[in-house]
Amino acid sequence: MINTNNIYLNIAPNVGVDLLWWLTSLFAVIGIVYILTTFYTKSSLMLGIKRKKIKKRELGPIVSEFLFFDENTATLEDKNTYISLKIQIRQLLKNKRDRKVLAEVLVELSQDLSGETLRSLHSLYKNLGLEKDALIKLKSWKWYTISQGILELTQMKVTDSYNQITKFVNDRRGVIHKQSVIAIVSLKDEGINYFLDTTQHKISEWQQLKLLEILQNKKDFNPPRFKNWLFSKNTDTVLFALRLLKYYDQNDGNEAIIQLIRHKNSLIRLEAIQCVGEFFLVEARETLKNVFWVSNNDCKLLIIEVIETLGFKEDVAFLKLIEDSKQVFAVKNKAYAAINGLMPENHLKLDGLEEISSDYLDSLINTKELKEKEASFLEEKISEEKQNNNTIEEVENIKTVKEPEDKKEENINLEFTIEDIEEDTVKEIAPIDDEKHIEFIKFLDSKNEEFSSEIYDELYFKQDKDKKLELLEKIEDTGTSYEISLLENIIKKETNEQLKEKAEFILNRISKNQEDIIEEVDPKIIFLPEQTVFKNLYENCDTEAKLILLEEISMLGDRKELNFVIEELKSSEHIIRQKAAKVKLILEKRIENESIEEVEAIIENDTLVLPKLEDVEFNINMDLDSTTTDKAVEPVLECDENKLMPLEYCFLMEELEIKPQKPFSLFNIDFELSDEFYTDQYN
Amino acid sequence: MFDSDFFNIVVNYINIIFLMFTIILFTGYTVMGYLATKHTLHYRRKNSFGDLSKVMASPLAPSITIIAPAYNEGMNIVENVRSLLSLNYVDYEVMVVNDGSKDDTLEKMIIAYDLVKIEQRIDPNWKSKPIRGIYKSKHKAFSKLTVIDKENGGKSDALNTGMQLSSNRYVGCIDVDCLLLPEALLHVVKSFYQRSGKRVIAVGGVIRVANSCKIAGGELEEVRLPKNWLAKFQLLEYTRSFVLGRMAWGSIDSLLIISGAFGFFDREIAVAAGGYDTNTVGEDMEIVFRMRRYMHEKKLPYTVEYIPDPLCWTEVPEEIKIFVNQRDRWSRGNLETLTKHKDMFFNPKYGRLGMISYPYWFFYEWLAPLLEFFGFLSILLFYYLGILNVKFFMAITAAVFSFSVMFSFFAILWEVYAYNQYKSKDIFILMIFAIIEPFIFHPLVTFSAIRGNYKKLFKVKSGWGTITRKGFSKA
Repeated sequence: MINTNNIYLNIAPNVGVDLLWWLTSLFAVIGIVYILTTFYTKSSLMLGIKRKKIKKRELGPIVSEFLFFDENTATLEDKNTYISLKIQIRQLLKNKRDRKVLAEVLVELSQDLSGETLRSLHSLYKNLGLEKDALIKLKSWKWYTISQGILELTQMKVTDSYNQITKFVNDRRGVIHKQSVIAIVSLKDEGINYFLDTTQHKISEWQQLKLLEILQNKKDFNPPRFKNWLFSKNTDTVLFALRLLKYYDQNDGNEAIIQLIRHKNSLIRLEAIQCVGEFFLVEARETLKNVFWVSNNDCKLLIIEVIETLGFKEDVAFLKLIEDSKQVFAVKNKAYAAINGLMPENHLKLDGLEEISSDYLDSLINTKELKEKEASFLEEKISEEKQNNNTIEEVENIKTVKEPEDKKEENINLEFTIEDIEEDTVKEIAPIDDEKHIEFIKFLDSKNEEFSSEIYDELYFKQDKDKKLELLEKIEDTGTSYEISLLENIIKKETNEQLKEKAEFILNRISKNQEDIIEEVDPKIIFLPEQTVFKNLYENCDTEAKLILLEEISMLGDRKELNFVIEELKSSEHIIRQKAAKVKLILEKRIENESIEEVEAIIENDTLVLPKLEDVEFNINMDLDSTTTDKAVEPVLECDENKLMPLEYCFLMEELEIKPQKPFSLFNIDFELSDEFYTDQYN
Repeated sequence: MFDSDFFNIVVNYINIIFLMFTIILFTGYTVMGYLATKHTLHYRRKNSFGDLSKVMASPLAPSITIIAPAYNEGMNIVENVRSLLSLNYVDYEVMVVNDGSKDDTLEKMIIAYDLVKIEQRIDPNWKSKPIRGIYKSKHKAFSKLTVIDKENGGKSDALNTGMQLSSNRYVGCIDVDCLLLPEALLHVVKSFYQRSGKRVIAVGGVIRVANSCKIAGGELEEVRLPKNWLAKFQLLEYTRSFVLGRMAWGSIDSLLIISGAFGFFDREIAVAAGGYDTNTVGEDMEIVFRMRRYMHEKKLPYTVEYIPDPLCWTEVPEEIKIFVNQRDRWSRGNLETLTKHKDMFFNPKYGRLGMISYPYWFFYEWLAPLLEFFGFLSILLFYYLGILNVKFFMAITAAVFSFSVMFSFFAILWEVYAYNQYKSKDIFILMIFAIIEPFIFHPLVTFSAIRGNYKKLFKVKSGWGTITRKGFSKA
């Protein structure tokens, strides 16, 4: 080892060592002081608690005696005891510490009592003059002492101290002003008005929570109209007023609430939106939609929730827009749930079938045009908002909305092939796992075909006798020509004589009905134009009135009136003949134009132009103005005008359950259910 | 060589550096003690008014989700969840995230709480390990309970999943084996709600040592001193850290760490800041760094609150191996977080955060154990070389020792003043442990820190390790 014994002395630092030893001594002394203080603190804490306990135990019975003493029912002995206790307590009150303990006992007791006893306690507190001590505390410069004084006066309901406490409402020391607010609201009903009118401080959420709790516990409280504070300069006052408005169900501030939806402060905005839902303010829908794009996620979620609560199916398009825009998942999910809530029929779950694709419906709604329209509408609204915001204080400048514009660029493919439609339509109409629905599908499958006896055979012949009878009774009640083949099959194959007879009876009845219908509904009559409504009126009026009616016919009439007008050409009156000739020309022209317009409208406006079932490709164009998601989009079919039947006849046919052969309808599309469908249904 | 002027100057400077470091440390801790005292007194007085329980069912009270990640917690999961379900608050949800446990954690919960799988849409873009199922109870009594079953992805991943699936305004991230006192949520709500000028983005609280305490039916019946010696040292350390350290940092709004066992966050801010970092083992510290940075960068007024009331009780390791692993992980987490946010170091842009909190964590939480370690090596080397300045060495050792003991005594004093939960005999034992701590416990802590730093710097593969709990019921 290197011998360097003397070296460290040379290189030892000159500073530090003495200081360090001095510090060591100091720390050691302080450490010892801490040890002593710790044990002293511990014992004094324990002792203090013990002393208080003893004193309280001593004072407890005295206080009880005072509280429950009734002069009317008290015996002489009781009265003597009462007087001696009074003297005893007066003696105690001379000692400051005892007074303090007594006040503490009373305050503690007040938390466990209610009703008349509590009122007696409050009077006892005042009778003993303890409130003077609390009022003296208000003059202290220590925040803690002042707060304690306010708390004591509040708990002992010393209403006379109200005015003295109000001066602390805007005290700069947080605890004092918070405590004083609680005091004034507790002590008097008008305290809340005073507070909302005068407070300059922010009102913390905790403070609001406590104040509401105090108001909730007030008996016979007549709340002021909180709408008066909805435009306070203090945003916290506005927020609290909104909450109180909602809590007390005061729906007289609707206009203000709608304005506050656009407030800069997100909490106020949230609360205002909640009020919209609470008070069902349907007039706020548009504002909600506008504000949506410039709100934070919490607001967005709430807006969607409120829109769902308001329950307008027209808002589904807006919700769809949200679902398809670049939003966070929670927002999109909420929008999806809201759509479900508003239009549950569009989100039926098909157990056992291939999962339903909502593409068809989505595509119908999410057309490019719709989005463009919605986006431009939003832009317009937002520019309006901007203008409004310049005039309304604290209302946010809403930025240009990006999402809808983005969506404009996303071009939805509107090209459909008949296979797409066929597939989606089948899925849309395909019902769930209900046996009746399976029958319905089978019925659809067969309605343009000849009756498929195998299917009904299967349905009928697999049943027992009772079921068969039941089925036949149903056919008897509701049966139509479609059941003829089934009945014939039953007659042919059924072994049970009773059932066979029943089937024959029903068959005869249905056949007879059919003949009657055919007799009744003579096609010649059917295709003749019906009698005009003007005829009865016309027959019973004078020439002048007839001319007026003809004038009306020229303006309103159609095919039905044309024949009537033609008959009038043979009228005995010249003037009538002249007018009828004019009207005839007008009507002929109109009928001709209507036919052209009808065809044009079919091509222009709508919808499906399906030349032939076999020609499988076509486009769908949506009429945006008329598109709402709650309306089924029905294809208008191009057909020969001559084959059109009057509406009345259509109703008649429907009533009689006569199904005319349609040239084409969506339901004509043949389809087959997959094997999985049947497997899942029966498993 | 040793008597050259140059050598003399170098050694002198080394001594001065150590002296300055020590003096700054003393000053720092003294200031910390002062701030903690002042703040504790203020807190106790301020909170002596009013009754918290009256507001627990208020219509204005916010909704809270307690997220409790569970990994192989089958032993105590049912009791722990029951304890969480019996808190004094109305609008809260308990979300247990089963992080791919290999034991029967999930099965036990399904049976005990009659859980059924429910359907819920999940964000397909959410980056966490796949969720296998979401469960709710069929019984109304357990309607507050939601169980998420997911593939194993670590604690951060589990917490992120819970945060994502929660829809409440505030989320609490706790250890499922922690015992929360019934009024815990009321204190948390008060802390979130009592500020009016600033947004409270996070609330942290004291963690108390539950070893040997008497706990029955999920409630703390009697506070006892731990029987295990290692747990006693940790109790002393926790007292110093929570009663003084965090209280002081909280008082100047510079708290940089919220314990993973009891931390509540404003969900909106936590999610906006990116949630928990899954690439660090110090996720509880890292998320506070990130949330604070987020608010600073957005120039939004905010604060992080600290609740000094003893609301959360946890078991601390009683075996040296487990303890060393835990502290090793803490050191790595510390280093990872400091490295990740190194641009904040003495950066005035981040205010007190950059100018005080970060440097403190850098010098006195990360660097101090390393300095201690190298200081100790230097002493041995100097002694071997015969150049050890015994006078200086003795003086500085005595000063540091007496200061650390004094500081521990001060912490015990405040423990008595603030909580007064231990008996006089227990306090006396704690004081004795405070005297022997620098010789037994502190070297262990320093060793763990060195090991953690070594692993991190030399990229030795290491994860969370496992902590075997005895379970409160056995305490």
